[in-house]
Order: sequence, then C-alpha cells, then structure tokens
Amino acid sequence: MNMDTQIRETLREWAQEARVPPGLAGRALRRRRRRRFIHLGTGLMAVAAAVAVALILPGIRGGEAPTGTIRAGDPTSAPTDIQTDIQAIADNAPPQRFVAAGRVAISAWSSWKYEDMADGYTVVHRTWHVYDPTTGTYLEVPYGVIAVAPGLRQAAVLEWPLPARRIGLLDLTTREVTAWIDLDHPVATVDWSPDGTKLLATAYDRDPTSAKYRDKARTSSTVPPIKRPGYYLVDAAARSAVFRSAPPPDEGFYTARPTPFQWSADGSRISEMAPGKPGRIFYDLDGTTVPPPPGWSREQQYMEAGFSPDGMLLAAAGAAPGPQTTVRDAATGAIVGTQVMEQLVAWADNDHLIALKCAGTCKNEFSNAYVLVKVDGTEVAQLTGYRENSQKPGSWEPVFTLR
Amino acid sequence: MDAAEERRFREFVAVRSPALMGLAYLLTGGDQHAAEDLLQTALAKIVDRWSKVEDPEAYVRRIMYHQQISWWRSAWRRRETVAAVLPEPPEYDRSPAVDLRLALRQALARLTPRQRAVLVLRYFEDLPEKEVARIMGCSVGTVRSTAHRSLARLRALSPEFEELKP
Repeated sequence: MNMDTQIRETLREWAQEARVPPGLAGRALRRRRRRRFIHLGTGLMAVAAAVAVALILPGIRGGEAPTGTIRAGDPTSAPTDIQTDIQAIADNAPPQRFVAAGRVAISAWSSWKYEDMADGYTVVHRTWHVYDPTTGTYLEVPYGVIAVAPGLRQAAVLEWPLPARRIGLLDLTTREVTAWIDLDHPVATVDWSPDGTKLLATAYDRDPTSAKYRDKARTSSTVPPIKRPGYYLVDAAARSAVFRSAPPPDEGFYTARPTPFQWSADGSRISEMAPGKPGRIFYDLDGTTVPPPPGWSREQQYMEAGFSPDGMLLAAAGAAPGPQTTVRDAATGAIVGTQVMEQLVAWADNDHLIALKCAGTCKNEFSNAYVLVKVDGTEVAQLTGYRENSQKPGSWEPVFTLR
Repeated sequence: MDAAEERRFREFVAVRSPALMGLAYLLTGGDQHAAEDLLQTALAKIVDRWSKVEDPEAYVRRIMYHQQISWWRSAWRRRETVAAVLPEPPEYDRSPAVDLRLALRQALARLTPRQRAVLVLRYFEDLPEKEVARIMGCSVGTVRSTAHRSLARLRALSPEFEELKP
C-alpha cells in the first residue's frame, strides 16, 4: 500500500469516530436569537419579563415535591424568543415558550409520524423537543425517546431507531450527554421514578410500535412477534443498571404487543397492564408480585392526574356523555368539584389542575388545548393553543413533569 | 428565517451533520470538543444567510476550513497544543497495519491546522489542487508546497512511513 492510500484510509476511518452531538441545529438557531435579542436592546426586556411571568402562571402555590425529588431553583423567567410575539398563549401550539403552572411544567413535547423500516414494518417515529432552561424555550433533540427528570435539569434519552442498546443522561443546560449506560438487552421505553433517582426501561426485541398496515387509512394491521424479555432498573447517580427478566404477558389482548412497565405514583412499585381485573399486575423493586398500592383502583389509571399533592383529593371521570371530569374526596369518594373537561392531566397544586379541554362545543374530541382549571370547575387560564386533531400524524403531545 | 426555512435548516443539519462532524473532527486533529465548536460556529454563521445560500453543505465546509485556519492564525490559539490522541497509547496486541494507522493519526494530529486542512482536502475530499487552492484562498503552487511539507513532516514524525512508497 502506498502512502496516498494509507492516508486516505486513515482519514476515512478516523472521521467515522466523530460523535454527532445532539441539538446542533437548535444551538445554532439559539445563538442567532441571542444575538438578535441583544440587538433589540433593554427596552424590550421589560416586555419579555412581563410575558414570561404571564406564562409561568401567577397565584399558584408550589406543591410539595415528593421526598428526594431533585428540585430546580426558582423557575427561569427569561425566555429569549418572546420579544417578537406577545400573543403568548393562543399561538403557543406546539409550545415554543415554556409552559408551567404551580409544581408542574411541560418538560418536553413530541410530534410523530409513521416511518417504514428496512424490515418491512412501519413504526411510529417521534421527533422530540425538550425544555431548554437557559432560554425558556423548547429545542429539538435527535433522540427516539426522551424522559425529563423531576426538576427539569436532566433527561434520560434513547437513540433512534428503537430499541436502543444504551441509555444516555442528558444535561438540559449544556445539552450534552454526561453518561451512557450500556445494556445487554435493547430497550424502547424509559421513565424516571417519581423521586428522580431511578430509571425504569422496558426491554424489547424490536420497536413495540411495529406493524404492517393493510390499508391506506391504517385501520387494520398485522403485528410481528414482539418479545419483551424484562426491564432494567437504573440507579442514575451510580450509572448502574440491573436487569430483571419478566414472563411474557398472560394470554389476552396484550400478548401480541406487550405493554411497557410503569412506576406506581409513589415509586414503590412497578406495574404492567393485564387483561381482566384488576387491570394491572404490580411488582416490588425486587420483581416480586405484590398487591396494588393502597387506594389504587382500575379506573384511576384512566385519569392521569391521580391524587392531589396532599393526597386528599382524587381526579376521576365524570358523567357520560361528557365532556366532564370530577374531583372526588379520596377518603369518601364524594364529588368535590365538576369540570367541563376531557381529561385531568396533572395537579398544579391542591386546588388547581391542568386539564385537556376540547374546542368549541366539542364536535371533535381530538381538537383540544391544555388549560388550568380550579377544582370547582372555574377555568383559570389557557396554557397552550388548540390542536386540530391529536390523533393525526404530525400532531404534538406534551409531557408534564414536576419542576 | 421563517418557520419553513427553520424546518429546512433543521432537516439539513439532521441529515448532513454526521458527514460535517467527521470533517470537523479531522480538521481539529481528532479533538471531539474542538470539532463540535468548529461545526457549531459554522452552523451559526450559515443561519444568518440561510435563505441566500444555494449549496449549504459546500458553504458550511468552506466556513470550517477558513475558520480552522483563522483560529490557528490568532495568537492565543497558537499557544495551545491540541493533543486529542494520547502521545503514548496503551500497549495491547495489534497488527502492524493498525499500528501504522494509529501512528499516522498521531502524526496528523501534530500537523499545523493549515497542513492538516490541505491533506484533508486532498485525500479525504479527493479534490484537485486547483479546487483546494480556491477553498484555501491561495495559489496552486502554495497548495503543492504545503502538501509536500505536510507529507515530509508526517514521515519525520513517524519513521514507519519511510517504508511506504511515496
């Protein structure tokens, strides 16, 4: 081999070792916005600050975080990109500016599309935007899955395509992955424990959204065999992962597409969906089957908000045909308040919830926006703009996280 | 930049960043952080001119070449010694071919940014001397002499290359 060829091959091989950092496009755009912001001068700073305060809704008490939660300091109130647009909320869909109320915030949002893969199956591919604490905006990241930890300072990420062979810990401030945790079994989902110290990742042998659609409207499909061998519990501080194998789901609806494991609200258990009653199987953190947590009910899983921060109230469904939701006394089940909402998503404090409200007279239940509502049903504020149809590819879905 | 342009920019970065990052990595002698800085700076520059640039990839590449050389020209940069490759890699069982490539990397990392840029343009991008001269903003003669000196330095830095045919 002569020297020219040797140099060529060495350069090609060496270039392959470069790692593409996440968020390149977002950082370039952010630099430009920072420059523009500086040019606009200090006069607009006051306007920006005023709008920021409006977005981080006033008058809502911060709820107590679960013990051990990594809490952010005071919420940042300096988004940089709002000086050009002070019609802040109605057009904030998908969110460009930070949305927060009380103890919760939209930590990330994703839009999705169908993508045909080389194996002949079609999967759901999500594009993620995650909260950037330095600018108060949401920036695109090139991961297949992102889960933001309570406190909004760190996230767990999985690379695309799914399933992924390692979990990354992403620092949201620097936008750098501070650690990669390698896994023997690839995983397709990852979630933080409520106290922000552990991760739960479900292992799959292929993307669990894989399907071969029979018609253009994607109304019927064939699902390939999908194995879910178990799950990982990851100690985020120690960067260590423990794998626990799990038996395949019992016969029933979930065998074709095994559902991911989830944390219980108090972080003491993990669970998976199961056909029949009670609807979920619970395990302790050693993998032993245990009874459901106290107060848990099958219906509860359909109303995401769950118990209020003080544990006194429980978000629940309302009367048909709706839209209606209720808040009940956790001890007696008595209705404390009724709201004209589709879903109660999260508690902002003990008196306020983030809810999903459909547009107009609710002709289309999938055209909706997120609002802040009081337990008594009074709507306090609209948090995001309306989506046209949340079920169609291209629509966006937020993730709410304790901040 | 309107929403459509921003989307196009994001798509461009998503699709081309592996190739661009590879180039940045070579230009910085295998320094991951310096490569990220270099590409980030180039992308930030193209954002301002996005709607006017016809071939964004060529533009970003050109900015990176110029940026890398101009950084080196500035006095504070010249005081820095970039050593992304360990001067003494650990000993383990390797074939002579692997040894040679690792030695070549180390030698490439120790060239000046300008010398390395000429070799990257010539051997990695496979560009003719005339095109290299246009991108570097110098004459064909300067390209030839720089390439000649670069190869001579590679040989001097690693005696193994003496055995290779020129």
